[in-house]
Amino acid sequence: MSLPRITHLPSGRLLSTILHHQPLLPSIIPLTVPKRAVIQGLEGIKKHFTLLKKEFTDRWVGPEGKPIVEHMLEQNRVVWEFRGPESLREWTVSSDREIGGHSEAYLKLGRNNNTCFLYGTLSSTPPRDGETRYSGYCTMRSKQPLASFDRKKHHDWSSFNTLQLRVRGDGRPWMINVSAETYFSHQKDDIYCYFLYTRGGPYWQDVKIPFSKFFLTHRGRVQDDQHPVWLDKVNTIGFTLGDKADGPFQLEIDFIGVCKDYAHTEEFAYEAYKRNPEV
Amino acid sequence: MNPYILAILLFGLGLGTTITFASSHWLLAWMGLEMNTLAIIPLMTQHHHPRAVEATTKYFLTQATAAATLLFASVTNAWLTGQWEIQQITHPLPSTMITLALALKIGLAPLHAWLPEVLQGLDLTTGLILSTWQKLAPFALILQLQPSSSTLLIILGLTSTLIGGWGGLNQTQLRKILAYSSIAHLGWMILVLQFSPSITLLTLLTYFIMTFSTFLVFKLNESTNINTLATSWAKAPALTALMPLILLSLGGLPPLTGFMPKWLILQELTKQGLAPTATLAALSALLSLHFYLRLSYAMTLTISPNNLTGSTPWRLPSTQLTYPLATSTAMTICLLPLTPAISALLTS
Repeated sequence: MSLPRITHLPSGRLLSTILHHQPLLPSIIPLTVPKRAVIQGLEGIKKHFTLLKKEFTDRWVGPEGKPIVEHMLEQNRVVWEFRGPESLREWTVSSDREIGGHSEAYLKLGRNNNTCFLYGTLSSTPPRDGETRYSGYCTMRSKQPLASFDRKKHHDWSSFNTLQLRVRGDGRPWMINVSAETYFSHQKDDIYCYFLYTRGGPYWQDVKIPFSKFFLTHRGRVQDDQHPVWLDKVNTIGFTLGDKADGPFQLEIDFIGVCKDYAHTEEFAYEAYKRNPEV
Repeated sequence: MNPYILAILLFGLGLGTTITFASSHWLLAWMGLEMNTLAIIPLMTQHHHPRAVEATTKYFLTQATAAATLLFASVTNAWLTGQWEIQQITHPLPSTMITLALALKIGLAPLHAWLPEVLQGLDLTTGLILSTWQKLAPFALILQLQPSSSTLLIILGLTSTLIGGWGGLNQTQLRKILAYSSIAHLGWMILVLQFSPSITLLTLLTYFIMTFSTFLVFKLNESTNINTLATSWAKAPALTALMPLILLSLGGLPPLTGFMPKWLILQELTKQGLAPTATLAALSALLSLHFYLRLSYAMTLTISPNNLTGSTPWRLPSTQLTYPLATSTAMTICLLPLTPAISALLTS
């Protein structure tokens, strides 16, 4: 019964409802939750409790769920491998469209569902908001790994010293960004970067970049006080294109992994000069 | 770091602990604790690294909270009972609050969550200072407390031994392993506090010696995770052979020094009629022993894959002083036969 109709009720009936406590309006909002939401909720609870149980039982096998011998002998680890649609859900694609630019970026599975294909168009026309002077970037970034109940988990790559990827690019210079845990250090935009020069062409390219080569940047600016990236709490890895060349781009990635190169003994590639030396 | 500043900070650390030792007034004790906290903060951030900043932030916040709670509890006690003596906390409310504040200071479970992350962000020397020296001042106060609730101390102790053992099982980072080891040992110390504070002091000192040895070994090998530790056979073969003994001493196995406090604590708990508590504590020590054995296995009982093409490092002279390590290793391994003398000292 809608509200206008109530006003047309004879006043006697209104008074009798007050005396006999009968509800005037039938309930408008249905009091039942849709079945689909209940099922999704239950599946979510089941998923989180399964993850929690796995966390409890994994430590009886060994650290990080692997026997200690396996942990000691591990020399290569494939972290991301694009073999099905669920692998794309671990990645986020963004471009300067968020700040009003005109670049486009899309992510899909490559041929035979064996690779991921990041493609789009770069446009360095700055957005007309009166304050942005430069624009033109596209990026693909992995999502933060989550433990049970959506708690943050980190990649522990301290046993490894090299990043290895198999990519097929378009000749453009990409940037690889590794982001470590920065919640407590209040340096949210601290990212460790290095360059990925792609060859283009039909042949795959195996790229091995030691982690000692990554340098520290903050919001894109290289910092004076450099230090090597600590690999025990890596949050995300990303690929950014911002080479100021307008036009289409594409990057195909087969896998991303980490490996331990015993021959690579460099701790940090950049010298730290003494600033403000005493005279 | 500038040597003058380092000297001032280390002096501040020493002074803070000394002030707390020498105090009988809660305010002075609190002041000593605050000096300790503030003096170690620059030492923790000397390497400008986000992880060091994270560790320092977490350390400062937890220690400040604990100090504030301690001050509040002592002021409450002064208001309720009219006096500030450290040994005269008779009212149960301030007594409990002070116990919990000091538990947060030293990292007893369930107030332990900061310790692994803080130790992980520090270099090994600062981590050693944090694990050893920074525990002295709070323990000086803990030993003087008259606990009103024996259940609280038993719960703190048992939770710490269990969480210390459980948490260390999943770690590959050595500093986090040492943090959980610290939590477990603190649990043992607190278990026996109300019955025999002298055994608590003995356990603390034994723990200091064992942790000192462990940290120095890791520092010599420049290792911060298990995989790097596994290559220590090329750097110091004799030390690699001795290290299982140091780790088993930490685990509390006879005939090594680490067995002495555990034996005395279990004996005291059983005398007080707490045999189930003693059993549970002994069983939780098995969890800790598992990860000490894992470290021994990785370091000594295996030769890790390697690619040694150059001269092995043990042929070159070490840059680190080995005399402190030699002394503490000898004390970590060989002091068990002194148990009768130490027991006599404790009971006198």
